Amino acid sequence: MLNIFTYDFMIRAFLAGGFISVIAPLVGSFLVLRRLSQMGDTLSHVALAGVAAGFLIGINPTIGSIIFVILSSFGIERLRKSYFRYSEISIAVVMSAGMAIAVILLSLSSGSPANIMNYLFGSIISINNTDVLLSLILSIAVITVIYIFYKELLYITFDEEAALISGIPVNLVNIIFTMIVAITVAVSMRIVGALLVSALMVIPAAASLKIAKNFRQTIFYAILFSFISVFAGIILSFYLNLSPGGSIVIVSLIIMGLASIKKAGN
Amino acid sequence: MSKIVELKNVNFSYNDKKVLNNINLTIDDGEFVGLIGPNGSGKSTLVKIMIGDLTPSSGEVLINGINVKDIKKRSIIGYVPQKSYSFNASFPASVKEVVSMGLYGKLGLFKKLSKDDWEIVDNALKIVDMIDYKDRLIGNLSGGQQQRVFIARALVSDPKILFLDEPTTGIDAKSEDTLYKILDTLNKQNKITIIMVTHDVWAISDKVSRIVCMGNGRLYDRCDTLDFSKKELVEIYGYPVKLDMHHHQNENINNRL
Ligand SMILES: Nc1ncnc2c1ncn2[C@@H]1O[C@H](COP(=O)(O)OP(=O)(O)O)[C@@H](O)[C@H]1O
Ligand SMILES: [Mg+2]
Repeated sequence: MLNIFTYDFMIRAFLAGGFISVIAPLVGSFLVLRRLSQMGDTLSHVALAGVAAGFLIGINPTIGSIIFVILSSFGIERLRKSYFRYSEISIAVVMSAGMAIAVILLSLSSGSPANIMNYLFGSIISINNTDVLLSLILSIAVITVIYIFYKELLYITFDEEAALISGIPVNLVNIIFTMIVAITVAVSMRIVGALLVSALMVIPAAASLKIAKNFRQTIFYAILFSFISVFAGIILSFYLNLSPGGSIVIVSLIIMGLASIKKAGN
Repeated sequence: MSKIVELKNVNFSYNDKKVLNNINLTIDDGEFVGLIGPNGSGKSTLVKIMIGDLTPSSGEVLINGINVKDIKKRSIIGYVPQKSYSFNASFPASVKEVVSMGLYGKLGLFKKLSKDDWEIVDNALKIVDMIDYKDRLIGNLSGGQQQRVFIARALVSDPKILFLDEPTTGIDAKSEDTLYKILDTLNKQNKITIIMVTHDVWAISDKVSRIVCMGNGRLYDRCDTLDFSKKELVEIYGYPVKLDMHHHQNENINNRL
């Protein structure tokens, strides 16, 4: 059998995969509990437009997608306020806008279609050292910010109105969190692909909810499950020649199934 | 006795709907005030005005003589909102975590909870007799137990005034009794001024030191004498009220007065 660790590109995959396996569920747990599970999905479509823009004007696609995602999340907030009673409209509209812009920008750019496929379905093999370094730096940024604002995020997630009344700067924390979500989506899509980003943000958190006894545990198990999914998924995809993004998500679904069974057994 | 809460000619409207009509109210330090009135009469709005969550369109709200919006130490105000247990019931937070949230605003950004802070959390849970449940998930408790946890959350910041908005709604009679005992202790031993909203006229009359009534956005200060004629009650409540519904408690009050 081939030894997976003798390949540089696999080492890079494990490194970058390891980083996103921590930040995706970390951010995702808050999203799920704020009933914003759809957010990751929407933003990853927008991120695709950012990638296309990056190709077109020749900047790093990850940077391009971070900029697009941050801009669009403020757009979502705006729309959410003007469609107050149908707030899910804002998410659907922004998702369509993201896809439309992505498609148009791609048709304008001369970049090879293979490149965009990497972002749609994720590609381990095409990760270079810059990608690894970028995902390390951004992951550290995400973890640090969540560590710093942990208690505020917990309160806002639990009860936004009560948090506001008790003097927590809710708007400021929400803006910071939005940017953290944007970064996480942009970094993760390089590995699992735009189509599966939200899976990695949502599924481990959903599994964790079945067994966690407090909020700290919820985050801990979500990261643990995601870590296992990413590593097992990468190894499976290597030996069985499957799509890595797809394999990662399937493993996470199996874990979620096991967590549900454990809960039912209790 | 010093005035702890003072409302002067307070008016408030949601959009163009007038909800509070020239409210004047003074509450002394150490009082236990029951605020009663039918649904929609503006009780919750009045409480939100008093804690500074809503701003009156005219008039003044003073806490300890300072405009409520200018208070630096917001932690002196404790608030248990109406239906605070209508939060997402499957939220994976432990009782301990929920109570600790009451400290976050006081601590400020960038500060983590210290060992002493967790002790304060434990103490608040002891006061509401929920310490044995501190590691339980909040969603696995009964309505009455959850309400006690939310009171503990309001207590950790060491408030001087505690506002409770219909804390007994949806909990059984026995839990209600426990709750009133806790509030009595907080008021008498911990010297916390309490303002409690309820729409049940009779249930609280022997629990509190004073009752004020709301009706149609106005405040009526003389309902503690309980000598309304039916006509006046209709005026306050907007519909006829059966005076003989709670015979037993009614008699108690009359004896007491
Ligand atoms: N956020 C709001 N926007 C518009 N109207 C409101 C709002 N909250 C309450 N109201 C209205 O104000 C009136 C008083 O409400 P509220 O203070 O909740 O009464 P109570 O607590 O006595 O039941 C009601 O008619 C209610 O419909
Ligand atoms: Mg109310």
